[in-house]
Amino acid sequence: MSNSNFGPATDNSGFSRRTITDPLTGKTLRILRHESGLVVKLLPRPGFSRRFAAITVPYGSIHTTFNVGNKTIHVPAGTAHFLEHCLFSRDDNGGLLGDLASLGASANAYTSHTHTLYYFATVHHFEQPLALYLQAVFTPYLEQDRIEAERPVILAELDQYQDDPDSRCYNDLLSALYSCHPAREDIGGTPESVRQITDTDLKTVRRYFYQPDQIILTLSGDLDEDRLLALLAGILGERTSRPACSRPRPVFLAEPLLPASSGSNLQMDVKIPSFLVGFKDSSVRPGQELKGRHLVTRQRGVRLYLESVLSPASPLYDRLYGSGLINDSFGFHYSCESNYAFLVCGGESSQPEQAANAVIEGLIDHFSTEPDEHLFDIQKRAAAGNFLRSLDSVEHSGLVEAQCSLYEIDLFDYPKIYDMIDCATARTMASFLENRAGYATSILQPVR
Amino acid sequence: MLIFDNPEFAVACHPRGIGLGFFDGVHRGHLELLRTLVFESHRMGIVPAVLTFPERPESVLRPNGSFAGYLCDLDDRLALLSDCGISETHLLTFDRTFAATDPVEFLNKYLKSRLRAKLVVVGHDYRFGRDGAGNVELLRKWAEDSQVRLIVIEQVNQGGDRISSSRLRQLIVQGHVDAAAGLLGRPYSLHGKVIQGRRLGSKLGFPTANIPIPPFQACPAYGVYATRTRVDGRTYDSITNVGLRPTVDAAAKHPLAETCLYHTNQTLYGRDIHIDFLQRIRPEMRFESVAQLGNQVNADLQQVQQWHRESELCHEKARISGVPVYVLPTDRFVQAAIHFVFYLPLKKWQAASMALLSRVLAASCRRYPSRVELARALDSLYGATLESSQERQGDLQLITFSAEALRRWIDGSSPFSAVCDLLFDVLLDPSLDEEGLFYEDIVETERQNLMMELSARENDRAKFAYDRCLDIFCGDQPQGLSPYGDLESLQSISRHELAGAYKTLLSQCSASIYLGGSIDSDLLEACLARIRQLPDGERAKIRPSEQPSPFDPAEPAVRLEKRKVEQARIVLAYQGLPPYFSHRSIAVTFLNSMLGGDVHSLLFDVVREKMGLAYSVFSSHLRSLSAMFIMAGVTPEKVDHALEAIRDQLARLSTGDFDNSLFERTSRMIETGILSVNDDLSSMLAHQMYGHLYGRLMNRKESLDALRSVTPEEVSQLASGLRLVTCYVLTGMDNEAQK
Repeated sequence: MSNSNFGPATDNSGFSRRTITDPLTGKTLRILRHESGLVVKLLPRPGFSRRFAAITVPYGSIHTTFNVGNKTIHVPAGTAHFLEHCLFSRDDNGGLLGDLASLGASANAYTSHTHTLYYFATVHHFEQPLALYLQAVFTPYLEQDRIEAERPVILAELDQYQDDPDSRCYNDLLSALYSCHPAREDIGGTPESVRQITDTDLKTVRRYFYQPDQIILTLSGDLDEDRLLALLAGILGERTSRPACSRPRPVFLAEPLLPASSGSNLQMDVKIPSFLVGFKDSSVRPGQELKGRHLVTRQRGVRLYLESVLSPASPLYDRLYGSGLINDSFGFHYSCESNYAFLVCGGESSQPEQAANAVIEGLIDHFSTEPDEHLFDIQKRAAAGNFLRSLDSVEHSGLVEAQCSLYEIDLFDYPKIYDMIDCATARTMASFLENRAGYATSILQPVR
Repeated sequence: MLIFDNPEFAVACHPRGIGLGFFDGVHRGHLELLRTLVFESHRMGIVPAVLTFPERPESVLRPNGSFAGYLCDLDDRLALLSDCGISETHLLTFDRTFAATDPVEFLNKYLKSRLRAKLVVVGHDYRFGRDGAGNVELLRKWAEDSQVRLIVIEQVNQGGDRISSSRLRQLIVQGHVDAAAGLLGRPYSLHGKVIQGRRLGSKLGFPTANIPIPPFQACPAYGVYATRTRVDGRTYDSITNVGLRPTVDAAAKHPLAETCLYHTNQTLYGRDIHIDFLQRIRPEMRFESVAQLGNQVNADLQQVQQWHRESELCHEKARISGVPVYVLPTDRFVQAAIHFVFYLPLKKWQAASMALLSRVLAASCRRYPSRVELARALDSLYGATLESSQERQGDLQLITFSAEALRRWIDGSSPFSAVCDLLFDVLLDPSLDEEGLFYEDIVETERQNLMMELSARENDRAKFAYDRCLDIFCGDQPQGLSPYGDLESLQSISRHELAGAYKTLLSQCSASIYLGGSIDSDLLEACLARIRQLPDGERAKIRPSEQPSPFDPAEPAVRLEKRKVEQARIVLAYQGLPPYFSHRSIAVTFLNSMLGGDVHSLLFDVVREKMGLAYSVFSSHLRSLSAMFIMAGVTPEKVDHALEAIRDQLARLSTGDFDNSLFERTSRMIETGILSVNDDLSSMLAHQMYGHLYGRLMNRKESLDALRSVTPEEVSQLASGLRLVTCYVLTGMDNEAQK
């Protein structure tokens, strides 16, 4: 979010402010920036009991190498996830979760490839849990005793994923798609990398990324803005934004255009086989990054196009479903971040290889036929309706706004972005799918 | 329900469970007793019966004592008892002679000899016999000597005090009808035949239906109320004045209830109406002129209309072909939802056929005869959804057809109205071939996909271990059957059998419909018109305490099974919790949350965080089985250690060895959960549906009251009642440590 979006004046509380009103729903979004660099977004929802807060830290599992000034810093895979765990580590009083529960706040968090998101929801005592949570994010307790207590829990979590066929299949696919981009690694790291993580690694990440000028705070519900800002001003104190040169800059190696391999075959003690088809979209890669609205437009454009190709309303889905190659578990996801993008689709199938091949052929063939503009428009309608319906939930709208912040857009930008995308534009964006060499598959078969 | 009002007449000689009491109003305290009676009678295979009196004993014992009136008349009381599942009511005349009966003689003569009681259920303060000399202690001794099982229902509180008929009468005569509804479990109601009035309301523009208030019944404090009025199976929002009408009839001596059904202009003279009292708006007042009265009535009407709009009270709007239609009005959401729920006994083959049928139905309809056409129609409705789901609740299978969509789009269209129409098309106008059968290609595709989905549950280790443990826990009882059917049955179902299942589903199964959102009268009438297309038939009646049925698990078992897994899965199944309808359910919610239902729980805090034994460890309350399951994924070498640690946490709860902070946190978190329900339309509708199913539907205030009544001692008592029945461990094939 650029500073130019805000009014120049900063009031006594240290915040500059602006308001966006959605013409479609009349709902408003307040965006504030503190002198410390902390961006606060408020989605007022009067009449609802629940209040929601999300703290977005733009540090995820792929940020294992970053530069600060002239220095290059490397941390083991899984560090972001380990730090997320540490924030909730216990003390004799139940730690952060216990303190939040005492106030009726239900908290959770997740780590993704690109960010870590901490959130909670409650019906009263909103300011107290918010203060506690922010304190924990800004100053997590990262001493050896806590770290060693958390390590076996994380190792048990990784063990659990080893038993999860979907997770194994997915990780294998990403390893097939990417040669050196850290997206190929499991978000939690490996047992070996988790064992290597030290308090120094965690403190380094905290020092550079868990800072107000990196973090976005999103609040939704029936909110008292003045009280909240007074609270935040008290927590942030005299902090000011760091100069750009002392902020971390993640580093990524050049990534080959094509997948590292054509795929993998996995055998597990399962009853039903499954398959995943992946496509590496090399138009987004290190050195050819996308940001902000351009990135989101691509995300939405390709996803809309895929809806018209792979959703239950599409002829291809109907054909695959009718022939028994896929079932209701079939799904797809196009992930597009600043320096990588890929498509994953698949599900259970009694004939996983045939299903994977049929999906690939169907996607490629699709580009040899005339686009179905009517179906594309139907998908745009559905997307618009789903967007409006999502606003019914205090938590969901807060969560989506928090994720929007990573792309420097706002929740209410979505309808405008959808309006801009027509069938031809989306088809062009998705044309990478024509390249047969870009595909990889991950097949799971029962142990014989 | 059979009614026996003459003790001289012979009765069938089958064994009975007997509930004793007067049951005026059949309030929530009575319901606890009556449901326990029905539930336990079914468990014992005996007939649930009530022994009571037509008139209250106090009218004989203390004829000059003050009495605010009955909460309902005898006919209503009997109907309410029948609704609870009572099979027989035996009425005894309470006169001076009867009052002089020796307590033991009463027990021997009526309970033992005449009614062959094998079970007796009474309230903790039950008194009987001459001078009230008979009490629970005497009854306990008699029951022991007579080999009769005795259940004494403890005091049921709400709002910090005992629920009782006399407390209810007080609330009603003081006008606190909202509080009374909380104690009754339904609004306080008056009913009668509409009489001719002076038509003054019509002249003022507010035609009213007037009923005299029966002199024997508790009369709400005079004044104006927000009400609902039921007439001929339909319910309408209304405004009601109760009183003597001092402005227009200074000589009136008998109070009238004058109700205005402002959304309908039916003529109601001579018809039976029921008026449900929801909220008092103001006391009765005398005005200087009729014009002033008219102005006030206008203001009252606006206030009542606003109250109805904002109260968001779910209620039965109509009952068609035995199917209740509940509407939850709310304007807070842009979307609206409809759930059409069918309730069936869970039987192996039927479960499979109904699961397959629900998939086949949701795949198409005559208007959109293929999956892809239906999917496009839904997407065109701005991403509307329409789906079927299958669920197990004890020995019941629930088949639900749900649809959600935007209530209005910016062009003025109503995607929700359209998707409701689609839902009814799917159910009532399916795509059939010339023989009236479902098309083979659709049936085969859905069959294969359902079978694959069923098999794929085994891919998930946690689900597999849970299913296995439940299977062992339930033995060969239906509670262990899958609501999605079984592979063998699914494979064998023919299209003719599927057509038969379709007829059964529509004409014989118990069903209910829930509509939530901004539902205007046009939409409601359109839905009701479609519901009238349901075929007539004898629908099974599902009553809480009868179904889900009482359940006793199989014999205790310890089972170790091996597969190729990295992490061992532990599932422990405990029995011993109160029945699903019990007022103690809130305390069970506490127990579960403290044990392992949340991240502040003992299992999470100690077994996971402090001991590092598991990443995933939690407990789950299976309410319809009165059971608690504990599940954990642990390193194979640590199974014993984890089992010990889990048992230790349960022991801590049993012995009260826990910090008060754990109890306080739990209370806070449950409170947050209760207050959050109204933020989500689906949660609000689910709350209603499960409330009806379990026979325990409480609004937010009542739930919070119940929450605040729970004590740490009560949680400990529940924990100490848990008995481990099934211990299931799924572990790896080759690990040395596991041997």
